[in-house]
Amino acid sequence: MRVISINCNTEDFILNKEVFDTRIAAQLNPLREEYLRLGRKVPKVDAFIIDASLIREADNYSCLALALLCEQLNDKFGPGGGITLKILSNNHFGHTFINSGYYGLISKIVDLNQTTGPYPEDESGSHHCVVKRIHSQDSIKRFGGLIKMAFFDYIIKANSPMKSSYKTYQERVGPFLTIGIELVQNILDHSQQKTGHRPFGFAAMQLLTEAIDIAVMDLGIGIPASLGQYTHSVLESISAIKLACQKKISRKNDEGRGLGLHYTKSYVIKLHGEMIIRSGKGNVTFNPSNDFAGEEVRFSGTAFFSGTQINLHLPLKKIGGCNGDEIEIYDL
Amino acid sequence: MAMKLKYTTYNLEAENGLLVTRPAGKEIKEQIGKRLDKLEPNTVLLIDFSGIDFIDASCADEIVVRTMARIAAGEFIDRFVIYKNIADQHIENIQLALSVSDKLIIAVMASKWRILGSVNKSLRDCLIAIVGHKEVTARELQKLMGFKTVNEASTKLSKLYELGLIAREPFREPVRGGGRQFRYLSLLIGYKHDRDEYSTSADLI
Repeated sequence: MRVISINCNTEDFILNKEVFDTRIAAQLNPLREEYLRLGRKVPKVDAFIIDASLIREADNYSCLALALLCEQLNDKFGPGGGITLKILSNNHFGHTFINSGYYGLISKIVDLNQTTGPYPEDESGSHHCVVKRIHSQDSIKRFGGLIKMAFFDYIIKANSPMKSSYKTYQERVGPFLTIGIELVQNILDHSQQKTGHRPFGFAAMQLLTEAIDIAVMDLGIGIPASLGQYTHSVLESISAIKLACQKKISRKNDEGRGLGLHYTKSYVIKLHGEMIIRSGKGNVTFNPSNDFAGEEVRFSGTAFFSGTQINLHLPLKKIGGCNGDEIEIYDL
Repeated sequence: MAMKLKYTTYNLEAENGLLVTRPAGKEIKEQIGKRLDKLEPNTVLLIDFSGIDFIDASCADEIVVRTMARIAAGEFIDRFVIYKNIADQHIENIQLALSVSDKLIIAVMASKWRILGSVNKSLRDCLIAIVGHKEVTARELQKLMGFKTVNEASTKLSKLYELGLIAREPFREPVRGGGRQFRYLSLLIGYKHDRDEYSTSADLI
């Protein structure tokens, strides 16, 4: 069995252009010479192991060069057992490389971090719920980071059956990040407070065995009041919620606004999930159905409670595509 | 000698690779604007997404749509923008933001390029033809696209130039009957994709 190791580790734990062009290039000299001599008849390699397990930071050049290297190794000496990349996932380099567009070239990631992430399983097999206070732009980014980390830890490390449903890490986490970020952004953008205090709310996330639950809440004036409806009738509350989920409906007038809830709802339906919005005196549930509109809407009245609460239940198993229209690609 | 476009890069950066929230997008849009303001004419700013894992629709609206709107409004005459290393995880929300405006962008990744945004097919086909031929005059485009008149080609070229998707230089040869003619250039005419930039790595094996 022919296994070749390439050591990318450095004493200062940083990978940069100079290191890549000198030390790593030197390790590849024998391979280069072999390929120059034999061309396509070069003996295939059963496995490459690229060890970057100590690297914590890498510049853009190195990330891209590493990706190109994997492409070339695969092209010239593969396919064998594939390319194994050893990294520490919980640092900037680990995140950057894993989330790069070239992730798909790596057959196996060996994460030497040895942590189980922030989501230990409970006895039922579900991960604990994580709740975060949303009060600033930084807290929104942190919540997004939590979603990312949870996906990486749960899906990739745990070898979840979901792993085979998607081609790339980005395809897995993209829709859920979009939904999560859009919802928590709405807390700061739109949850006006009667008292004039700065808006705040809470966001919660729980990874279940085959689904993810995301919930957000705020104690603002609610959707009906936000759209100019200051009465609290059940029917008007329900109408306001349904209206808020349409395109370009926002109390803010500038172009590009009013898309968040609409697209959240669209994503939820594409993922065959369920979205429940409670605001004012109304409660509306959206989920896919077989009717021509592709969604089923149920609604009911509730007692009045301040603000807006939104619950999402999103299956993790891919059903259909979440991507938009096919985009043509041209050669340069 | 034909005009040459210059290229320079602006690397997008964000904590944890997450480019989210409208205020963050606004800040970056302003930085891009300042950078465009300082560029010499006929320079293309490559906005590089390789450091970004995820961009939400609000940021995409600020950074992509509103930047292109400023270019279309004539704020940065003869300065252009191409978006580089836009990967699959970025496309959906960028398309989302572009879908509510009539803006188009050119996106490049490695040795490929694509158009994001929605516009009528005729304008899109013209842009593809111009990139393919690298540079055209109105008459040349008329023949390429089979338009009935030169005016039709001129109108398309002017529109693409206004949108900031092609560059132009005054045509140096005299035009019969007087008047002014321009030669229009693809923004990708002098662009070298990453393999050339990283030529050392590309030759590793």
